[in-house]
Amino acid sequence: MNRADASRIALLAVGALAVLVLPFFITSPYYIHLITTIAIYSILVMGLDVVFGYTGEVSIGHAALWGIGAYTAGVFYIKLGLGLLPSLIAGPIIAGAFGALLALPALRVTGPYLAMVTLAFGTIVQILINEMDFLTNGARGIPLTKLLFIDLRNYTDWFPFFSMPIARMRELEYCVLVLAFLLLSILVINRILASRYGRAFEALRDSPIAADCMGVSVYRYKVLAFVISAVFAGLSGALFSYSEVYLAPNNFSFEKSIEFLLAVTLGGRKSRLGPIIGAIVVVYLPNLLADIELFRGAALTVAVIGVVAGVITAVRRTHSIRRMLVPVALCVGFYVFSIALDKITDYRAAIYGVMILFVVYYLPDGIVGFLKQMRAQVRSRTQQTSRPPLSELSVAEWTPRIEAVQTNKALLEVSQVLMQFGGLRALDQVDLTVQRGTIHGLIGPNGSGKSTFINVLTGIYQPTAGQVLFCGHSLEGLKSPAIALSGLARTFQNVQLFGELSLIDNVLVGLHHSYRSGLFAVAFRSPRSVREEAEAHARAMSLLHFVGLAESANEEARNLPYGKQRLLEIARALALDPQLLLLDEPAAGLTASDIVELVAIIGKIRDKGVSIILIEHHMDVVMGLSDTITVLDFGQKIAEGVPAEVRNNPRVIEAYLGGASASAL
Amino acid sequence: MDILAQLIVSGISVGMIYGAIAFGYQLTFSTSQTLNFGQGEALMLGALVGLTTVNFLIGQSIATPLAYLLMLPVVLAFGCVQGVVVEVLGVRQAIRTGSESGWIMATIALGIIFRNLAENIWGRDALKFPSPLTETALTIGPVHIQPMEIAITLGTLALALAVEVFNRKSIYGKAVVATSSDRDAAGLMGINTRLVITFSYALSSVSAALAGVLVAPVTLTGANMGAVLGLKAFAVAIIGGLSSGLGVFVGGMILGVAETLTGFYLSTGYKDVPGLVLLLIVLSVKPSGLFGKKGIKKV
Amino acid sequence: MLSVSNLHAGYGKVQVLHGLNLEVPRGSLVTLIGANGAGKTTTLRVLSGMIAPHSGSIHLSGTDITGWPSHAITRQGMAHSPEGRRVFPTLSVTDNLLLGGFPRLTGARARGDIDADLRRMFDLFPRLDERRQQLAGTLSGGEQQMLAMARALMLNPDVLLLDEPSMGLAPKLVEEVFATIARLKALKVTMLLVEQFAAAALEIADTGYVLENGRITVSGSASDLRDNPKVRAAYLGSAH
Repeated sequence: MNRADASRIALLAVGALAVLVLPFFITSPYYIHLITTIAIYSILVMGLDVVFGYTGEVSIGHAALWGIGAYTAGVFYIKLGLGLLPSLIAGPIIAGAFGALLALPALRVTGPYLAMVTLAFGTIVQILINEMDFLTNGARGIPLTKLLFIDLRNYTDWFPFFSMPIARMRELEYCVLVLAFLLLSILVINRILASRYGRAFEALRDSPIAADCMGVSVYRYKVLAFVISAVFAGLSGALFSYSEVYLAPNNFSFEKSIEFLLAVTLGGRKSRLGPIIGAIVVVYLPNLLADIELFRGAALTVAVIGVVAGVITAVRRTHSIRRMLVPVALCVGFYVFSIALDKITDYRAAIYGVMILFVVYYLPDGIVGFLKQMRAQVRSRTQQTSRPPLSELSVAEWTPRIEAVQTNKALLEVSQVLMQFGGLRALDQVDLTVQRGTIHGLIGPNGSGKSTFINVLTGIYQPTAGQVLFCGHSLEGLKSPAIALSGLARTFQNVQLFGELSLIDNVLVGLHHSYRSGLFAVAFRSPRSVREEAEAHARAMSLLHFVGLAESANEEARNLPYGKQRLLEIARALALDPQLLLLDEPAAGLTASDIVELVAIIGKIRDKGVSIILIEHHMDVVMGLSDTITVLDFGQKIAEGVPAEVRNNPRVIEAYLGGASASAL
Repeated sequence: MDILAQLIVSGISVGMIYGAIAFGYQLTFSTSQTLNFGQGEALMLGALVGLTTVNFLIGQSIATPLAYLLMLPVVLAFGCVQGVVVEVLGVRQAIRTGSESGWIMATIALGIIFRNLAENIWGRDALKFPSPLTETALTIGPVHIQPMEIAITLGTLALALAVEVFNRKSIYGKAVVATSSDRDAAGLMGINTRLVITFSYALSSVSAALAGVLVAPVTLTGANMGAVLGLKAFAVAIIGGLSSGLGVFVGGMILGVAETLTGFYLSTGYKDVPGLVLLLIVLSVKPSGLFGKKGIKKV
Repeated sequence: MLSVSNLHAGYGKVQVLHGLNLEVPRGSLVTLIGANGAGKTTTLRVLSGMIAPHSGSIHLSGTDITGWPSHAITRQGMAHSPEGRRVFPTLSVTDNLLLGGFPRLTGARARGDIDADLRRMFDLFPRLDERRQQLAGTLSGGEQQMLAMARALMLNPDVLLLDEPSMGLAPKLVEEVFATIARLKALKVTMLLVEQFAAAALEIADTGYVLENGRITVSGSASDLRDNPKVRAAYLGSAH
């Protein structure tokens, strides 16, 4: 551990201590309770962010998971006579189990369907809480008693300020406990999201198909994300029950789920600070709404900020004035609305709704995202960020990890593969053999079945008939992730990068298979998980270096120029340590100089022992690189041979140029 | 046995309401692959606007059945406007930017706003909607049928039929079908597909509003009547297939009957559960719907 | 009739067209040929407004239509028979044709005699005549191609854009498609034909442009291009 790390840890420890001590200096019981509630909300919203921010799914069922945690505590208390500690263990576990249940439909659906599933789940749970009278007391709710952990009055000799009424002591201790759990949650969530798990979640959001083809099973990780999210919802719910000392079914309604969603979007997804800011807003908002003068003041502030921001952008001309007019008008309109109202509490839900609309359209990355953007703008203006140049020596040369095989048998043997879509035979009895260490070109006119062929090989389509042997094993019935892990990696015709991940994280997703340590090891930072992460990092850097992208390792993939994106996809595919690399039109959309670079890299990959299937329309590229070329037309193989043969094959010329008159050319 | 027949008959009319809302989901989903998460609120607003209109007309000493008929065009026009508002504020920009969570969140938000406004205008309590038809049930064999239940069935079917005829016979209807099947190609035909999407939202809210005023006389009206209806209708839309087809009415009837049975044999408190469980099961097992077909995954 | 100057366009970050210049004179058949991925389809998509150009200008009959949405461009008189045919599978053949005339039926374009034009289409494409009430989705590939062309013609277009009408068709049907194009040419329909089958396209066209990597590399009268070795090189690569 170096000194920078040590001082950072010390700083964090001091900060954490300060957070825990802070409540002692707040005398108002109202604010103590407010802080407790905000911390409880924050834990849940951070968990919701795992699903919403990282996997990109909208959950309208988190209030139900929260309720499950809370009612676990409540039922434990009134039915079993168990206290807080068992509830804090059981609450998250039971909620986590329900999270898994909730995510089951995710096997088949995403987006709006999954959102509806969560909504239905939330509604069912609320009905059950109401109706299962024998367990939950139904509409009467469950009363609990406030806890006292340590009687601090015994220590007033040493710490005089511990002398306080017992009611305050209860509030205070609970507040500190909740804050401790908040800090713990931040720590654990941070570590999980910084690990391969967090990368897997983002990968399946940005491109599910590429995630599957990197051996990261979309389904498994989506369920996992829901479970993690639900565990924190359950924890938060259990804490909430003893904070409120009374549970009522309508606490866990649809409206609460909306509050949570508002908190995560408003605060800013994909951060820890965002959910806390969001939680502060939604917890404090009802109080704000109860006080009309305060509300008008806040609305005025928003309006002023809106107008100032509008004027600034108008002057700088970053956005067209017309586009800025709407949000600015909304801000001002909000103020006018606040003046016109006299009973705002009645309009609470509508105000939440308006805020969500505003955030969705004008603050899509939330407050935290907005601040980050501002900071980046200011930075880029004052100084170009000077990242220290990577030392060439620190990056090891990349070599593929392929076991040497003493065999002359072909690497890939495809025989009589038929792929039928309705009446269309996209692939018609295709045979193809790829020898180890070669580049095998695959060409043919548009719609001749080349991409279908790749999709059959990588398990995206199941062939209607025929056999595929890879390294002597049949690929029949295997799903994309399993095929990827068996040593068959691919790139995509229309680039499928994980756009919001950095370059190095994209490659690290490809290295997902190299990790052994599990979720707990990551959360508690076991030595092995630390070592694995360091090794994977080094390997990812060597891969980026190999394709010439090491310099921009920390940039987001979506900001990369197109030609470089293609190279990054190749690096990511190579991270799987494949025996066979499938390149689907790697040169499409590239400039002439990009193509030169690409050709050199493909050549180097082959020289390192990785076999390649190359689909490409740039004939100079295919002809120059390939050892063998197969030509498809109408799903059938019409020619095969070395480049010179294929180029002069009359059937190939006819397929490309068409008609009997092709010979005239 | 007689009770069973009775429950089935009552279930059918409830099911037609689900069918009508689900039909609205289909209309927008087929043209734009988006749908209104606040569809239940469209129904609720339709019912409440209808209630106010009917009460006003009765106040002008117009007979209830006539007042009801005169109210229909008002409610349909209102539904039209409401649908356009949802599309313009909630969906349009999200379609342009291709943001899925954008339109989901935005239509949810609009739903909350509509519900809250309704609470403030009409109050939180359930209101009685004057029935245009006699409330004495007709007796057919062992089964009693409310005349209004027949009206519900006929009304929703008339709506579906009208839309179907429009789609088949009018060039504008064909333009809607063309937009549903291939938006880009429809644009090449000179069809303003953005307008078609706005139109489909208007029509979707119209069908919800009509369902609202049809169901209101047999149940009660109120700001909170829509939410669960909208959710269960989504289950029906999934069962019937979101892309198109009249399967939604079959799905609606299945759910309606299942619910009246649950309500009778178990407890009315649980009567919403079968629909929701059905939704979860169908989505986990066969999300393309019982009548839908599976598309080819494109890479 | 159609004139394109210095057109730059692409998808997102990918720039496909790098400064394209093209003229389609009234009544002539111009062909745009080139290998897969050269940018032919992209060119047509920009012309008909399916994607917006980054820069450059497009004029149709003297009107600047750069950046217009596709429905407006269509109403202005540009018909596009797109790649992959894109007929409306759940509608009948006749309905597909009527939709081709949508701007005429709805008053956005001079109406003329729709019924007479329908009859003309059935004369021109006798295979469609037999299948008037059949759903377009049940037609064979060749018939769908005929339908796509007929549908575009129903606009009474000033310019007809044809994107790879031969794609995915058996050789015999390809011949039939080209014969139809030749007939349209005789009827003085202004056409821009995108083709991968260069030989056949140059056979019937007046003028040809060869597109390579988003740039026009060779252009001239079709008969000159037929003997130009650069054309073949554009497809199969230059022999090293």
